Amino acid sequence: MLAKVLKYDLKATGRLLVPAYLVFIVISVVNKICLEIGLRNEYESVSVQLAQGLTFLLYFLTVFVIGILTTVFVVMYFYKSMAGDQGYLTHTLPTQTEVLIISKIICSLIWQLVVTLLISSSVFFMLFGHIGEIYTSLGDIFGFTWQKMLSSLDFDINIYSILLVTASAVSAIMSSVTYLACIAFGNLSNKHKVMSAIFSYVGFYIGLRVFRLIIDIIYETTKSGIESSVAAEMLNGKLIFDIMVNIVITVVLYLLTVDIFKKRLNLE
Amino acid sequence: MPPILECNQLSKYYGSKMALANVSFTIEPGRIVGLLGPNGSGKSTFIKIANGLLTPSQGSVTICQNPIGPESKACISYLPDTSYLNNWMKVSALIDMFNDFYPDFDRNKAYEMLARLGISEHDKLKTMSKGTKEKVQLILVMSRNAALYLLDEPIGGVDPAARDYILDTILTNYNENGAVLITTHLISDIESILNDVLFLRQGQLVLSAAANEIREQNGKSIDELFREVFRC
Repeated sequence: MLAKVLKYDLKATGRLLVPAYLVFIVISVVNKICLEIGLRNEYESVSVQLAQGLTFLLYFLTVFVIGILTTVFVVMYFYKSMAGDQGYLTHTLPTQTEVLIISKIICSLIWQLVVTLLISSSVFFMLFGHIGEIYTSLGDIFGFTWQKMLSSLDFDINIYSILLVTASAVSAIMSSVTYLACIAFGNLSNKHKVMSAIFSYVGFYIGLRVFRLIIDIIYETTKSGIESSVAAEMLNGKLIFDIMVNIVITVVLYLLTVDIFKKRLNLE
Repeated sequence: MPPILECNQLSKYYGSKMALANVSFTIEPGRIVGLLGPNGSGKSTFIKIANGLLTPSQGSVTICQNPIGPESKACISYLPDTSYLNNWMKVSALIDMFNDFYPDFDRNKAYEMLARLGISEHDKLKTMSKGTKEKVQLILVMSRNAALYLLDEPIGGVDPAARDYILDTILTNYNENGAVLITTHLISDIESILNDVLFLRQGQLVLSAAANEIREQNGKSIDELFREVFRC
């Protein structure tokens, strides 16, 4: 049943996101062409420079818009299908509530992954053919080579990279679960369900930020005056701590979401 | 045969406001039951509880001897009183979706009913009038071979000709080993098809009897009795 629910979740979300991603790909290609023409513009034509500037601005804006659009559209779909009119269909399907929620989480993760890969590939595509120049230029500006910079670090970059990828994955799952949990909290209200969901999200976000700030202050205070290698280990430790905290928050929010949609559903 | 629906001491409160109070009844297989009452009497609240869309404050409902959950939902074919399908979907895609989720869905029956009404399977819901959308929803719901059909105001807001079509569709397509529960306040239109009648007033069950029994005992139609009981 999970595969069936996921199929329809992806269809419902993909009908807007796929065309938006195609537009983004077209804008990326146009921008790349303008960029290359501009770089070969020996006569420094003003019109070519203007077109190049405009397409770059458009591209830059699209990178932000595409990320925001993905989140907004997925969250709107979550709301409509779980707490809106379409909830009448969703919650009468002969399946467990957990299946409905896990399908939404997977759907959100798939689109987050797609948009991340799309933006990364697009940036790489923009730089393609010029990576060597950028590498040298940055070295010239900051007076180092990448090898020297990496070797000067006191910690294992591989471990740190693995931790960063893990942290990103956990964070992506947590954000999807958070959206669903806030919709569930909003559903508990008899009136103003949307506003209640938004306030739940704002409250949760502020609470999490304050908690992170406290952890950062403790970390910064503790690391001052100690050896850099120990500080590097602490950085890894802090990242592991962040991952653990996010996992705990995700599990708690998931259980609350399941409980609300299973035992306290309120589709008046 | 065991009852298809058993409602036991069911109560529902919205905050301090009572929507249902100690409602108990059963629905036997093969019966078409009218859950009748004025607006705000608790009809839709009951239907939503039976579908798991609302949680009761007290009491319980069992469908095909299952508490509300995936098993009970598999037994129910539900027509809500609102448009609940994706507007952007084509009729054919909706049929595929119902076919995917409900093993008892008969897609040939759905296509036959669509053809009879001249509704194209290639049309999207958003291009249809409100009445046509309601007919599509009804076709999807009645194309299931379900144990229990819960139809919430199926004839509310449609013209008399459409009402006849809807009632005819219900009568000719429901699973005769199952049961149908219809909520409405348009009694005269559905009176002829009802086997049993439940009157709800301010959340309380004030009458539960067979339709013929009511007519014989009171010497009046159910519509007349309804007007008498619920006179403002």
